[in-house]
Amino acid sequence: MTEQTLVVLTLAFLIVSIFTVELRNLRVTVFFYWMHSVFLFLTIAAYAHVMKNPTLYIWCGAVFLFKMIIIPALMSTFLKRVPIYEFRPVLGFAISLVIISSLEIIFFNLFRHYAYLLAPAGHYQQEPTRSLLAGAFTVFTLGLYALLTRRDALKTVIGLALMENGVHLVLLALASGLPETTMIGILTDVVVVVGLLLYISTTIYEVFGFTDTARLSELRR
Amino acid sequence: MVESLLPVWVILLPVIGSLAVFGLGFTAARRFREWIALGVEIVAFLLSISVARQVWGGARLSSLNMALYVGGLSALMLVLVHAMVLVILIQAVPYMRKELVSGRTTDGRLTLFYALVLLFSGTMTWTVTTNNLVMLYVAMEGSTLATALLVAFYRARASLEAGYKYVLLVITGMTFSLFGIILVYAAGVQHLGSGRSALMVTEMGKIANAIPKDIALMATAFMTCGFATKAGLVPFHAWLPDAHAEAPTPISALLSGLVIKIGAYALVRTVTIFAPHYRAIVLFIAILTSTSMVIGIVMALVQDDLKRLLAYSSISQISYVFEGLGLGTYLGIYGGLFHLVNHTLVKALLFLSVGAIMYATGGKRRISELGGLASKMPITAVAFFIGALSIGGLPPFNGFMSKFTIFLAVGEAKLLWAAAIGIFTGMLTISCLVWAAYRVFWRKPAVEVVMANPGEVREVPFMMWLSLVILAAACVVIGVYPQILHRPLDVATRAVLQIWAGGY
Repeated sequence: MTEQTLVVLTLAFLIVSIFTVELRNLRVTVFFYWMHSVFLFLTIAAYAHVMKNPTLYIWCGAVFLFKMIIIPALMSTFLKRVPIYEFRPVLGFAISLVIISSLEIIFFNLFRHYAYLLAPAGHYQQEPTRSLLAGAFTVFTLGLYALLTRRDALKTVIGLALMENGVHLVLLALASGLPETTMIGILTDVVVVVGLLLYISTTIYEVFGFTDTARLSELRR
Repeated sequence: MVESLLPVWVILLPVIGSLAVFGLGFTAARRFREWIALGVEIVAFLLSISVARQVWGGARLSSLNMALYVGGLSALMLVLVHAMVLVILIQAVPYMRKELVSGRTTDGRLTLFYALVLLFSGTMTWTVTTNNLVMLYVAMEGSTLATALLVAFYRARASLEAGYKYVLLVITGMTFSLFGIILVYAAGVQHLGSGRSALMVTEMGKIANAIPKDIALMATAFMTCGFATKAGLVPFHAWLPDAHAEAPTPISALLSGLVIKIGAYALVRTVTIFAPHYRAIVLFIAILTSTSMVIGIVMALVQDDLKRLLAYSSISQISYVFEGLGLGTYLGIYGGLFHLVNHTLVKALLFLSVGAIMYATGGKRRISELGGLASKMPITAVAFFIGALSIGGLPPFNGFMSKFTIFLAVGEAKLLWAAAIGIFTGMLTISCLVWAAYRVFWRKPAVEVVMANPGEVREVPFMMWLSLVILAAACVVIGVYPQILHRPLDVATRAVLQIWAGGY
């Protein structure tokens, strides 16, 4: 019962993540990024419950603080300074949605099938860790896709954040016994990265008048 | 194993200094910020020397229940980091003062400059002393973030673009290496038990052969890509020329001298431990670095901007370091570390020489806008020429010694094609750099250049040429008498091999 809940939560997490990448209104995107964090939080909580691993609840608390509160707050602050509509991405809405959905389905199944390449021990290759790992890697590839195809500064930052979230999900699926200091180190690092990138993007908007990273090409002469 | 708090202090001192400089920036005492930064770095340098002397005397230092561990390799890097930050700061003081006078920066941002350089020094120390794999990643990210605002320092269009690219690309690349680290940890837990020991760099040797082959290759491939991004190898190099060219010149020296070397340090800490077990890793790194060194120097040949030229040459040179370290043999690691030290000295010398040229000519750095500077700036000319010959690998200078060691190691590993590519790249390097030096210092300048420069170019002040003379002298001394570095390099190489053998 609870294992199935975990798989359903993982899938919902993936679908919300796709919307985070695809939607054009940046305010809605930030809201969906927050939803993505909520599902990350719920997935970790369900995993902690299934695996009966109380240390994972500490991760839950940290994810709540860093990813559900601080990072969305940073993004909303950024949006107060810049236009809320995204620059036209490389691909159109419909075609991008089709490509990303099919890619995600393929990746999810590939990662589930070749779990032995990613899971270093037999018990990680069983459900529910298997699906969780596949979901985490799929979110990672989704972030990479966003980084490669989106031109808006906020969207690239969201792509990076999705990649990091994927890595963190792998981290706690495979290495839940990590000491708290390393956990705080990694999460603080993400917050500083997002804050710094948004700060530089704000300055870019003030100087250039746009947040389109594809047009940052002064140096490509 | 000696329990000591000295390494903790070498980390904390620059961080405290950074906070002090930042805090004093709001008071009238901010005019002392340069001297505070220099003073802190001098003390940190002396402390790191005292740590290193204990290590070279045969001791191993650890702090905070093995959270920090200083063996031979860490000692070498520790001294190198603080020596270079100190030398670069000596030149940065007059250089940045002139930037302030010419209005390219403001008083408040100058405070931030010194605070961030000290913070960077602290994160670098942390990177090279930590014994925890995940903290190694966090500290490397810290050093990227500390330099990000320094790259975007001028807040002009070009520097903002460079800073944005720098953060985004390096952090993305480093995320891959975190993946690799997690895989190694998760696999290591099966052999070492849950808890901290599976995270320790010093325990890597015990698991390198024990974890499944698929996982080991996957993890090392991820880590190599991540660390190669930090080091700026082709095809992960897109950030490097922009960041090096658009940062203030002392920061370019810092980036090229230290930041990209951290990628090599992390490689030798992790991937090199696996390399003797899997021939595929050695081949992968040899192919990656051979491609990278040729493309880097070919791109350097067509540059007109001196700083971009040096940046592309860095891509080529860091590839030699990676090639040596990736072999995983005694000679390979020795040669790689030797070239790491030499390239740090030489590239800092070359960038600081460009800094001197920009100081004297009011910010000119295009080769086509310069010419005939040798008679006006003799010290800088000699320093740049020594650097050019050394990086090209000409015999009486240090670059020759380390490159030759790497070629021997590559030959020993039966990769003669890679040695041939390395020698070919060396020839291109020397023609590229010496040709650039000739055009800047000896060629008669074009008429329009003379008209634009009404004869007020003269040698830079004492504090600027002091660091050039120190670095040039180091290049010559190491080239003529390389035994001076044998003990530190030998201890460092043996430290890596000991970890490989499962002890420390």
